[in-house]
Amino acid sequence: MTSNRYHIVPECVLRQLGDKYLLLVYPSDEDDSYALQINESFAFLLEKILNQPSFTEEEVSSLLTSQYDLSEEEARAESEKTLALWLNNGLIQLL
Amino acid sequence: MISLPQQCLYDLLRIALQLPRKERYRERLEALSPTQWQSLFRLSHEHLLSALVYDALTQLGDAVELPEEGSIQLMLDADRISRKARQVYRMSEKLNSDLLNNGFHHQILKGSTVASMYPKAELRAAGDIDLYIPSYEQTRLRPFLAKHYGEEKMAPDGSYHFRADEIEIDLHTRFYDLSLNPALLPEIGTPEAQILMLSSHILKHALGAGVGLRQLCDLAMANRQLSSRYNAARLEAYYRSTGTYRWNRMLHSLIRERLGEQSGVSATLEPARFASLERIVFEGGNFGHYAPSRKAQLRKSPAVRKADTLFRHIRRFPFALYYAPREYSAYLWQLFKGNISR
Repeated sequence: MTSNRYHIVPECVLRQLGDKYLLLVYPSDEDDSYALQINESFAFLLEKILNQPSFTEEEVSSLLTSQYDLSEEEARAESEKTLALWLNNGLIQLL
Repeated sequence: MISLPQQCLYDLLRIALQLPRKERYRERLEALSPTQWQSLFRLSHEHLLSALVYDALTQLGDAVELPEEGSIQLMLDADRISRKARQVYRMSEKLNSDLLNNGFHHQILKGSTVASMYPKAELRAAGDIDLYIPSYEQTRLRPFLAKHYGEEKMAPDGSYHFRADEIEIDLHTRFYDLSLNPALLPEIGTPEAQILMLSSHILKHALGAGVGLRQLCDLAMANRQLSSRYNAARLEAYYRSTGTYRWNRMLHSLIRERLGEQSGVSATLEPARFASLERIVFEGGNFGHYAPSRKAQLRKSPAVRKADTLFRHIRRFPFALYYAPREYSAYLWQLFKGNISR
């Protein structure tokens, strides 16, 4: 099975305060910057992949299984859903 | 007597600035109600200290339970401050090296220099770049800046400004905000000069629309960094000869008591009461911009703003007369001249 590789498109900053997480996204045009309040699992994934040049769906899936009590199948479904969401929101791009 | 949110703001600043923590700070933070947390976040915003407060809270981690409301805004504020600061300090470094390479005898003033004395420079909010140049070099510098750092603009007070990448460079031919002959003041470039310049800058604003905690943090950081390189007795002598001894006793007492910075002159100057200065600091946040009456005036025409500034100086009369009468008369005279000359 060939796995797609993705990379994060804009500049992103992850901020945490207590149990709250904020993702600040800065596209090349700073005027279009936006902030998203995200949950802990989303923050965990982002923290792991933010500094990587690229990543695959399998890598995201295995990050989820290593951190949460999820079966491989559940993790795969979750990572598929998450990556589709990020792709639709312009946060990541297929390499 | 200060409020619990104000006490906690000082506690958090001590943590972020790596100054000695005051006992029972955790108890004070735990005692904050959600409404008091909102006040603390509002104060941080108004004094441009959100990045420092955010940093302190992340250092404390789970030890402090934060309210639902306000935390997100604090993170946004902190990120905005750090991004802008990085941008300004990058440009400031480039400007400094360009000017050195071209043989100018300049000094980058205030924030851009003091930020490097903070535990993390990007936590110190930055706005413009203040550039000092001796007047004999101004004629050579202006075309250089206009060529490399954006179009030149002259402000109503006759000073020159340049704007590049949304960052303003303000040109100053005076190093000190003091009326005394510069020949009688510490030589520019010395640690004493740096401290006296910061203290007189705070004085100038305290005698007018107001001054915020950020400027006090600057002085605390500079004093901690430079105290081993200056002679406290000599600096104290300059405080006396400039007629700002009482002012500086009060200023350093506030820094020592509230922020815990007690090196150099902060340790040697005789303690003084500082409640009147602290009232000014908290009445309007950064440069007094957040005082409700000032906020409304700042949206009006330049003439109304100038009249408001003059009024705010006049309002400081009793305070100024006691702490820095000579400087107060000089500022009033400058303002008066500025108002009648146009």
